[in-house]
Amino acid sequence: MKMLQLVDLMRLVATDVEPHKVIEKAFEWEHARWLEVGKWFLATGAAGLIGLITLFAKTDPAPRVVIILLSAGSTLAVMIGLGAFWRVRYIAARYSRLRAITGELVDVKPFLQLLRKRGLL
Amino acid sequence: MSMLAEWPSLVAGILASVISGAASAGFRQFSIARDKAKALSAANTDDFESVLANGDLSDLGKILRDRLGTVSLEVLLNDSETQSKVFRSLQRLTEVVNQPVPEETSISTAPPAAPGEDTPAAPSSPDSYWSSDPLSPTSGPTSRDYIDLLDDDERARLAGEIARIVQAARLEIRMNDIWTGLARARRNMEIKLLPLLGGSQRSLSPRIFLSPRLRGAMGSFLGVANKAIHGGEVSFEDAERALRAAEFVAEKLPMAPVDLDKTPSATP
Repeated sequence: MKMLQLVDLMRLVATDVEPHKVIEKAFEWEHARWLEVGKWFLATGAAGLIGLITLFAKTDPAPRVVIILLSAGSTLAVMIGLGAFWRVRYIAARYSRLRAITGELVDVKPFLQLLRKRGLL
Repeated sequence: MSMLAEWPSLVAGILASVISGAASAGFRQFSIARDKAKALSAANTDDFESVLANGDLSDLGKILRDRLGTVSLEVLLNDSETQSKVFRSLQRLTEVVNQPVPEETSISTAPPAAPGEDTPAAPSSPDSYWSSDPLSPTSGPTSRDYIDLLDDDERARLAGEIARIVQAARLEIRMNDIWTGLARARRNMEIKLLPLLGGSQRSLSPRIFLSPRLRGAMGSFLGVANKAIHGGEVSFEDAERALRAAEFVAEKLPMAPVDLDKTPSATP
């Protein structure tokens, strides 16, 4: 939704496609994308932490910079992963808000089509 | 390698990630605040209200596309203040655009009746006139309920105003477009007529008149005007017929209500 503006929603409503279906699809994609992003970052973070434990288990010392970068990177990855899962919680609320706004726009669909026809939208 | 010996590096790494995470969150908050300020200024309802009152289709299109339309959906879905502003604007737009087409009339394609042809039966007395109206309140209608019960001077003044509005609308339709002409005519009639009813009506409707003939004429005007404003296809001839109906109201309004429905004359 970052790239979209209200005018895009108005244009969508003014077309003959069913806006609710498009919105549902967009939110399904967003939900799947954030779940996927969360999973990948958590997996990367976990792998980094396992690598860190392996480094500590080894007898020869690893360079300090490797330890710092690995611990920083894996903690950051875990935080991003958890953040992505946190975002998923709000998708349902955002979906219902967008449906409500679309409902308002559907009420004036012929007017939006008129504006589109005149090149004003 | 001892874990104890390297714990400062470990803590430094975790600290670095927390600091970069916090910096990123801070930048995100700043960016959200900037987008929100932009969205709030775009959703400013004051400008929108004046454009709606002006009734110009191209101005309305521009403000919907270039101002209200630029509100980011991301901000809109996350910020309740922006949401309420946008909802208010959209509801105002719906109120203006979605006014019902009066049921008691339809857009007739038949030619207007010639003078002397049958017209709705006129009541024989003022008492029967009031009782013939199914919508009239039992306590008797007053000038606060109906425009045609205002005093003679006021009705004459209003008739002149309506005639001027119709002339301006006809010019607008010929020079500019049907939507703007009819929207401005309806808006200007609302401004002139509704305050006289003491705020009992929020939008123009045939029921602001007691006389069935004035109601019919106003219904014909609103039938076409509301259809056009809603975005429906309205031909130039339909628009012209609507304006003739409004002219009929202007012509007959100065007459006393009882006389008006007794007088045989053409309805639009």
